[in-house]
Amino acid sequence: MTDWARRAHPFTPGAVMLALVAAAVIAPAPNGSVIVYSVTIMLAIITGAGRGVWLGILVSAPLWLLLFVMHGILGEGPRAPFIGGGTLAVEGMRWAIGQGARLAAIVTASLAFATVFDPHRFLQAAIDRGWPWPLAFLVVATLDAAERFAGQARRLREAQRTRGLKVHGSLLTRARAIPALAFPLMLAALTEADEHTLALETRGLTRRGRRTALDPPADTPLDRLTRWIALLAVMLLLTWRISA
Amino acid sequence: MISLGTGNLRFSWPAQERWALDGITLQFAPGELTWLHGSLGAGTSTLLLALAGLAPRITGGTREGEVLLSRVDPTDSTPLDLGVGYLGPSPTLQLSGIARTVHDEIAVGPMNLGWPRQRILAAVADAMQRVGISALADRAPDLLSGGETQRVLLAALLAAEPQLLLLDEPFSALDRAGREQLSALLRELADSGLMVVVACDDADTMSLSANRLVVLEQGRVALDGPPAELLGGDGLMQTGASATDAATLAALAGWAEPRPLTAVAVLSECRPAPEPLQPEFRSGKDESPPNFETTTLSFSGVTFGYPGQPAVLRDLSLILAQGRSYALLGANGAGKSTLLRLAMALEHPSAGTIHTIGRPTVGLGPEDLAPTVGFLFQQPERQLFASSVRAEAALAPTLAGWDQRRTADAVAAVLEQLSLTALADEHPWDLPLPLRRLVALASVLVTSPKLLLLDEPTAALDGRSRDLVIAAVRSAAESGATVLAVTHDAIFAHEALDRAILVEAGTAIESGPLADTLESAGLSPTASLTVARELRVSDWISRRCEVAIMLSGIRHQRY
Repeated sequence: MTDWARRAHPFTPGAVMLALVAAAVIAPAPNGSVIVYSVTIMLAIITGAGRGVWLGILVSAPLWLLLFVMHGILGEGPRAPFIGGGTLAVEGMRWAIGQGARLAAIVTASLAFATVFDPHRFLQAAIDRGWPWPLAFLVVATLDAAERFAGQARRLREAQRTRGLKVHGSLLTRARAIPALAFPLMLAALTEADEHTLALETRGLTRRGRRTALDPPADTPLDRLTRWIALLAVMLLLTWRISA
Repeated sequence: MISLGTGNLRFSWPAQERWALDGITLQFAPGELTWLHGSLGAGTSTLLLALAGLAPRITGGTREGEVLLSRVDPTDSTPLDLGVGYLGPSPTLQLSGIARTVHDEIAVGPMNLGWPRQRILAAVADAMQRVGISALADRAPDLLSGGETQRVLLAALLAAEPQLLLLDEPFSALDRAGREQLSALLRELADSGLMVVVACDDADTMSLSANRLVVLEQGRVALDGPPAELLGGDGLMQTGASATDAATLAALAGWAEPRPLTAVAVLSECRPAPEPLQPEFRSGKDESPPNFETTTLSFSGVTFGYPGQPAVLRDLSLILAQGRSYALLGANGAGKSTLLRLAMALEHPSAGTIHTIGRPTVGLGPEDLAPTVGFLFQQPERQLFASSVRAEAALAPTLAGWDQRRTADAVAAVLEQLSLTALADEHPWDLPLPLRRLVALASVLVTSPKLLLLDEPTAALDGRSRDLVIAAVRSAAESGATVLAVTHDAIFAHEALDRAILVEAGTAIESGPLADTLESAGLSPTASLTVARELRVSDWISRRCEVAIMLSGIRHQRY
């Protein structure tokens, strides 16, 4: 199971991620949100996407701190004792925990999915299923654009360093280097995008018509079962919330 | 059967008043290998884009007149649907970005054509075998060298089984073996019935394979005929397009047309043999043993590999003496560019030590070596960042703390040296590729570095731009700079540099006088070197201008 998320059919981790995000939105706070966040952490760890949990904590921590200060310390209403002789707003803390867990579940599910997502396998799967090509390519091209942008930034920074621009060192030195990089980076990205568009056109990437998946990922019974369970779980949760 | 023709074709780029193509009427035939040639701005690349239907549909701009590809306007469809394979001049930008391996990259075209899987696999295997890259099948496309990328892209075109190949500078990043192999392959493809049109400035390579030469001048057809008839004539020289190395040598010697196209033909017309030049004619090529007591760059037992990849350099050792100029030779993927990156402290070895300008590179970055060390990247046109040519050239001196007067003088001098003065206020990104490369070189030369590290400084340059680079590099070397230049260009190496280091499989296997190392590196000797050797004059007198002086005394006679 430790690398199941990477080996699974690319649609399966996506379906699970969407189900967890939906559950985090639907489940009642704070208990429901905490349960969904716990399930998200557990699933990420046992399927080999544990890095997403740590990234999720890093991203969510400032938000948790803000919610704690705004609603726990500065909140109004009945108060309960807190360490050091201070007090916390009870309702504010319930709200902060509920919303904090909800947002953390969404962030963690998304990041866990991002760490195991393979755009090339996704593209093969999308072609195999006959998905609209522009939609499938848009997903991959967006991720590829980020990678290209990073590559262009690295090349420009290297070129500037070889001319003597200091981009390391104190915070001030680094801050001074940002404008020197930002504008040329945008210009280069736009120019290269033009040339890359031309290249993609010649390779048939905008051509209409059926394509062939060269190496489509296997869609196992476990994959299909997992996707159905994810869908069913969300439907049940939604039904319960509407009827409750 | 495919047919292709243009009728009074005119094209102008967006926001430009001048016609880049101005009334071109041409017919191309299957089985023909047509070579489009011309000086900078002649319009050869633009014509290829128009023939592919990419201009103006994708590029923008205005077109008048007609292009008919099998009786349809190619702008109404995609190149792949029309059986057109187009390869642009910047290899790394041509990668699809959707493939994890070279094999999958080559399969992109057939995959998009919707062929059955078995047919795709067979076509990919055949294309890789034809281009000689089967060993690269499992490599990541974005980690290939420039030459390897160019081969992969060519295989990708072939895998889609095109009827028409339109190639823009397909040899620019290839080593000699690669050029010869591709040249032969193009000839073979044309012989099998394909229509092949190549825009290229490499006259020596194309003269061997093309059966038709179309020379453009300012967007118009200036010459059209068999290469053997046109390359040695005055008409070609008047357009500014480059001739073969031997024809250029003969022209420099004042020989009248028709001039010989090869060194052998030059020799056959030397009757009687010329008198060797006296030593005072030596123009500075230094063949004396280098003095290694004053080293500028040293590698000692250096091993390096990129993360997750096999070692690129293995236990490599070399020493560069101060004031000498070296060509770094070797096949595509041998580790030459990586060696330069290590010397500039852009990378650091996993074992061994490197000293650049007497400093160990451990703990240093490139900014610590600039501007004493100048570094020109491969494809430097992608690494320009100022808003004008003048500002681009002024960046390094400004960062080095030079005062305004000194900076302005240095910038003016380097722009003059590379014939860029008239373009000083232009935005670098608005210039054509060869000029962008000259701007990048100017921004490196401006501080007169003690060590110049140049990665393919003449790749994809037209003849005139290459001559400017040769003169600039020679001038830097004669001023006492040490030069280390990665190159597959034998003429640049021979004309600008005096020693060579040969790298093979990540190790420096040979170092010595350039003339002796060219052939070990798989490069053909230049015409002037061949002539000088055959006439038994010293290798000291073997540069083009020196040999031309010798030949100028010989009356041109045909036997």
